[in-house]
Amino acid sequence: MNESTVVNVNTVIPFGPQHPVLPEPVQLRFKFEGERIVDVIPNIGYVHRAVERACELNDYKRNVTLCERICGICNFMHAMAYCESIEMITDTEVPERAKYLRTIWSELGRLQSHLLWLGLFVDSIGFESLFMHLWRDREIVLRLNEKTAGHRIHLSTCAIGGVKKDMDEKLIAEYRSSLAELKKRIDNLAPVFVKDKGVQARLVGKGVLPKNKASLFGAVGPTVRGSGIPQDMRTLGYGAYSYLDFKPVVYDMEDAYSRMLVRIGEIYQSIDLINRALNQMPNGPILQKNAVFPRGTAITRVEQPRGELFYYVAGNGTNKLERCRIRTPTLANIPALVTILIGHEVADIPPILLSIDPCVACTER
Amino acid sequence: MQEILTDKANMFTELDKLRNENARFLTITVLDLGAQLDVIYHFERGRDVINLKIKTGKEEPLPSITGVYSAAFIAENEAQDLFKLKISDLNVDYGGRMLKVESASATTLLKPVVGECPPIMRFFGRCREKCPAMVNVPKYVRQIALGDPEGAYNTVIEQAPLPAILGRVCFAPCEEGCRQDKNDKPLQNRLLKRYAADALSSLKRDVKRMEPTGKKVAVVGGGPSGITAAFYLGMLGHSVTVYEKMERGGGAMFAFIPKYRLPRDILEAEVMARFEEAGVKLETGVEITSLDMLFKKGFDAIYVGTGAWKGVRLMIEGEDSPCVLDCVDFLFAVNVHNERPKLGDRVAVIGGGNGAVDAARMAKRLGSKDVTIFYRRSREEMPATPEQVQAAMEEGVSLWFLRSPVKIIPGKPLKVIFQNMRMGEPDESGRHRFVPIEGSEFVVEVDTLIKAIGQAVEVPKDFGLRVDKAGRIVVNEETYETNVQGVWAGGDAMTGPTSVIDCIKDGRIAASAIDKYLSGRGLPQPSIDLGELVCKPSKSPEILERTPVPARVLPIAERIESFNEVELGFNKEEATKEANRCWRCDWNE
Amino acid sequence: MPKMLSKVLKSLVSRPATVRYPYVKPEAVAGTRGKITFDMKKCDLCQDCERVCPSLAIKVFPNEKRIEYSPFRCLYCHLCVESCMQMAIIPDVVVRAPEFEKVIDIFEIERR
Repeated sequence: MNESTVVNVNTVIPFGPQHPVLPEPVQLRFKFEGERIVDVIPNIGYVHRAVERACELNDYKRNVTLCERICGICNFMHAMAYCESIEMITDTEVPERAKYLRTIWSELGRLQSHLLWLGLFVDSIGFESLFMHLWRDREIVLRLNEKTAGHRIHLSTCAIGGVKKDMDEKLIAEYRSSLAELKKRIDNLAPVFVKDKGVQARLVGKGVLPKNKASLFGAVGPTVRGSGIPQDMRTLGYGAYSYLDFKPVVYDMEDAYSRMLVRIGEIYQSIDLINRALNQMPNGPILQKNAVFPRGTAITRVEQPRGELFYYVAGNGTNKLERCRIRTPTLANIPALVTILIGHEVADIPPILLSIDPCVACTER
Repeated sequence: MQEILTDKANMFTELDKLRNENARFLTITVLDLGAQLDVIYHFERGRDVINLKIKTGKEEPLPSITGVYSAAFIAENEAQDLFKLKISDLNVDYGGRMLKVESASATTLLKPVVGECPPIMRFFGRCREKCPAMVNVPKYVRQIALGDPEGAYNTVIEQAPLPAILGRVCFAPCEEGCRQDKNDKPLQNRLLKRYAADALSSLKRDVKRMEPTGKKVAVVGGGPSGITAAFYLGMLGHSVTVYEKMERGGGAMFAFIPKYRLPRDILEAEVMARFEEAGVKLETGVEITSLDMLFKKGFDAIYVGTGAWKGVRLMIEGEDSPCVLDCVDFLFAVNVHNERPKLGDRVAVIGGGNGAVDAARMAKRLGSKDVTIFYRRSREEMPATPEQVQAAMEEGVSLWFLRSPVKIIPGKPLKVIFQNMRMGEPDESGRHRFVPIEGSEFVVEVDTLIKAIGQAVEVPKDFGLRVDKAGRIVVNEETYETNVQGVWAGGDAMTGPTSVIDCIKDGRIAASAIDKYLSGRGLPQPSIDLGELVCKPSKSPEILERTPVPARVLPIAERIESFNEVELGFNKEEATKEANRCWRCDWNE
Repeated sequence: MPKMLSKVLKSLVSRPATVRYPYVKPEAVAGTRGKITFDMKKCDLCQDCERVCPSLAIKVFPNEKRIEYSPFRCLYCHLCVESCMQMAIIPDVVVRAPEFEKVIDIFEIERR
């Protein structure tokens, strides 16, 4: 065989479900021509737990605990979206202080998620010491979680009609000092991401998602905000975001590098939002119980760290729900992923795959 | 949220319209509605969500929308897996095996969904389970807490038709069942029931009977069981007549329970209110001697609730001496005939039940200075309600335990020889026997001795009913029917002397059975209300420490001067505060 | 690159940021959701904890006066602690130690 025939042979290589770079199991079957990717077929469904079915068996109040445990990293937003749907169906009015508290804890969850993702992202490039530094800084957020609610990751404080735990003055002061410390540390590390030539060489120009195609593929979250489209569910004004004067962070270089910049910008924005919410939070009650069983349907959309979370809840007047449909952001990003991988080489797969931030536990439910 | 209803033929025109407006595809929801499936496509246009709804049958093929929106293939494959749909022309088709589970039936969302369900979310509540008549205690406490005494009154009448009376005389087994009784702070349900009745301006409600059925029922005896049976049968549409021997209705409530526990105007008002609502005729002063005569008069069914009136003898020498009264005759004389017998200064009462305590307190009010109750067992074994015993002690009655009389020597004053008792070995059921101590006799001089050791049932022989050894009527356990066809029995005449609420239970069961015999449907069983949403009170330190609202009573000095009511009941704030203490055990949050 | 180099050199010579567990135990934060025990002197077998548990880890047998609790199904969410009105479930800040095989804890009310 001479050289030209070897180069043009097509090979199909399965990437995953177990792979050192992947945080969660997903399989992508690549069709290569030599070193270039020609086609991608995704294969999901390895951790399907039938959560939607469990939601129909359970009492509607126990579902809050169930929905919170769909994903570990983005847990508070699941509980909040579910509670907001039931509140919309039963016409319950959430007190103001509860809205602010929910916003603060959502942003804390977003901080924790972006720091985790940044660490994994640079680890996939090979930058392991930066990974260790970032995960040590993430511990500040996890300790704040533990002091607030008792667990480092699953806060379990969201309930239908408000929140279950309150924050006193000592805790608020601790929040402010911890976040100031965190900001100092991120200020130290962020220039490494943005300006380092090695990182730029691996990321600039890779995984390009053009602006006119991004919306068509149904992509959501920082994937799309890195392509110049200002799509963010927080502008809808749920929770206390309507009081906090929120504007989405957008970059328009359309590649993996700009998605990383979007997430770093969101870290700074989260710290700023939490500080502003702590200043503006009014006093008052924190829980208002619902007065009727849920009867009707409601659709809620909430911004998770990875994109837009969609909940469709239908109740029929008893204590069990009729249907609870959950659509997570990674499920919407997979068709976009399939397109942006074409034309790249094998060594570019991990950064591009991680640049859409796959959270497969959410996807499979 | 905007919804567009369309069908398979016009689906693609709508989709093209949305595509031209640059709507973004969100996801697909499939709902199983039994006969057909609802497929909803969600899109976002601007900031609104647009739903496109299509109805399709199960197992029918559905065209795919990946021609228009190519990113929809994941949602459609998932719908294929979970709902066994067949979608044609998918651009990437996993063939029903996208979700890698061992068997598709483990995750299918087609109804009915099977799986390990959590335990039952509702039950009666321990207070309601302890009530013999299954009165819906948690519900009426909640209604009082929300400020609705009328609703609370109606709730009690569904199971027991005499709330104002029960609020004064019931021995309240529901309070023993309350979970807060563990810390000695049970909810005072009895006083709450009394408040619900007292807060109404008139005890007669505006309710309608059912259509008249044309059947006639006779009730022999106007006591609590007879009143209950008459009320429920009257409300079901039958024409009821109550025959009562005394000149007023009420039975043991009228004759035995003293006026300072149950004022006579309340008794009269409530019984008359129930009879007016149910269209019941009351004939007083009539004694029935034969049931066949009633059948000949045209009655289709008879309920016998004659009660227990005969005094039980002590079986000791000298029992028939003068100045030895039976409690039944004594209470009758004071309550029914309004006499004021002179008992002298020293009175001894033998017995430990509510009758004995009532007789002792009555004797105090009639002027005796030294009233003593002698009971042959100890304080814990005393069957009287602890509240009554406490009230008696406050009024100056002395209590001597473990003493039993052996002989009465007539004369003026009476000499009674008592013997001390001691606790003996327990028998098979675990109760201790009490044996006399030999040689421990002592003499007590009294002016009057009142025997109050119980009542026995005496049913006229001409009724033809089968009775057991103690004279109580024998009935079928479930329907309360006797050996004579068309005759039911209940109350004290069937069980021996018990409390008002037990007789009410008997009356209701018998009324339901009589209605079924007369081709009706009977009364509904006590059920759990699934439609109501009840929230548990939030567990603040305040609710865990809340002490019971103290019940107001007349000062002791004023009590023995007259026969005025001793307990003063709750007013509105006290009742609301007490009702808010309830932990609402019948519903999980 | 030069920035990272200075950081790497600094962390070479300084102490590790980790805690040397199990020789040094980390400080316990009050309110952490740790293991639970049942105080049977206060329990009155009302089954509220069984109804609220999301993972069905508590089984109450009121006739036999016994509670079976499975620490392996438990999520340590402490919803049962919040729902017990007699305060008979006692939370702790310490996490339960691992075991070799799956056990079920049985708590009984002492018979008098």
